[in-house]
Amino acid sequence: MTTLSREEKQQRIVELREALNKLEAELEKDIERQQHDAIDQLDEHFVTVETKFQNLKVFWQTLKDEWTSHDRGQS
Amino acid sequence: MVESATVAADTGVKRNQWQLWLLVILLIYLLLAAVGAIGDGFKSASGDNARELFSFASNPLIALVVGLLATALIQSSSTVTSIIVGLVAGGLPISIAIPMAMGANIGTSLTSTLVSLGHVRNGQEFRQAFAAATVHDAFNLLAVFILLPIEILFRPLERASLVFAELLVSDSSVSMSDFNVMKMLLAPAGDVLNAMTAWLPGILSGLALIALGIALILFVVTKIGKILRLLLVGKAKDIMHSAVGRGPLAGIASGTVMTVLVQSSSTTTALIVPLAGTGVFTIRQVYPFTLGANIGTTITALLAATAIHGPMAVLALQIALVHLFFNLAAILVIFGTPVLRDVPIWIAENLARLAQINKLYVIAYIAGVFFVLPLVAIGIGRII
Repeated sequence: MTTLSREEKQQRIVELREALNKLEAELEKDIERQQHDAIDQLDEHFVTVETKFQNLKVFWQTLKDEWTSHDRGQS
Repeated sequence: MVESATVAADTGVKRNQWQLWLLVILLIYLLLAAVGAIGDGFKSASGDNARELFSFASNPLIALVVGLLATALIQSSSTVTSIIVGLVAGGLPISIAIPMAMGANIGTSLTSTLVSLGHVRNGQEFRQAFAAATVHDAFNLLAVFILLPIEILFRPLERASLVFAELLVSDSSVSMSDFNVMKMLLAPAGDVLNAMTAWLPGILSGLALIALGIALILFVVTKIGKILRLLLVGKAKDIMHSAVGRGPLAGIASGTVMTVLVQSSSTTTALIVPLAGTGVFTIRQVYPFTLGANIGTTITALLAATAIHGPMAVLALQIALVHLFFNLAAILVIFGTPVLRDVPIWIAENLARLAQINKLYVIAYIAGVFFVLPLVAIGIGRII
């Protein structure tokens, strides 16, 4: 139990809400900045789209590894 | 000395850009010629029996499957819908073409799924990427599930598109000289394509012309996409930048414009998969973008419809408008309704959660959508 008076507690709540709003706004700005940076790298993602069939090899290898480790776990 | 080198380099870049734009115009010309060739080939091959030739697809579910599988194989809904425009111009009944165009929407999402598999080694990234990839498919499947039965029963898309097509297509009998610019411009290319196959006997010449048209459309759509990407990647980035921090409508608009710029909804929706995989964009931010891609991709079929002149022009434009209206209606009905809006996200997120736990769910999903669903649809189609 704090020693703050009722008015002090209300004031403290208002201050915390303002701080939270400010922090959320800053977080929003950070996220938007990251999104802008990611968009600037769009050219790399075009390459990813063009080499999409190579992902099947990666996926297949990962699947085989999981099966192998699952079998080893069971035995 | 340095300044003149810079000016020379700038001039060189501008000349190169002009050359690329000329190439784009040439490719669009070839696209229109190819669509016309498919129409001519279909007319030639089927004669007055177009309906009989496609009678196997007279059941809307089977027509849906044809559109789905063709697009999944070619990985381009723009190509398939352009082919459908050509076939309609050649006599394919609209009632068969409409479910085919709907199926093309579903088939196009395989690309983004394949891109998401590249993140498979990182669990959280894979989950986010796979969800971003499958939200598009979930939306398209839901759209067909809701709108196809309504279309079969009441034909709202067919009716609305016919009204607009008749309004938009100018009546050549009204013009004083009965002069059709498109017909004149496309005649040389059409004659060359016809001449390449005319030596074949009977129905074979028509079928060969169809095959040639399809191959040409596929070539053109692929090449145009790559060239426009070179020319407009800066613009595409600007559009995406402008949508950051804004609401879903901005997301839809940017998805639409970007897809028009790169001429491929597969590319647009696949591009955002890595962005979502890294967690920079959430699935809720990616979702409206994929809806915009659905609208943007309809531009190719609308463009293809301009190749058709004469009495079939209205039908060709009609099917292109059906594709557009279907995607707009799907957004209004699903995204516009609070109850339905989050269903694709719910499906995608749960599928991704399962896929992260066990990769076999990925195989089950791909097999389910592209093999089991078509087989079930064909089975139901035969029973009904």
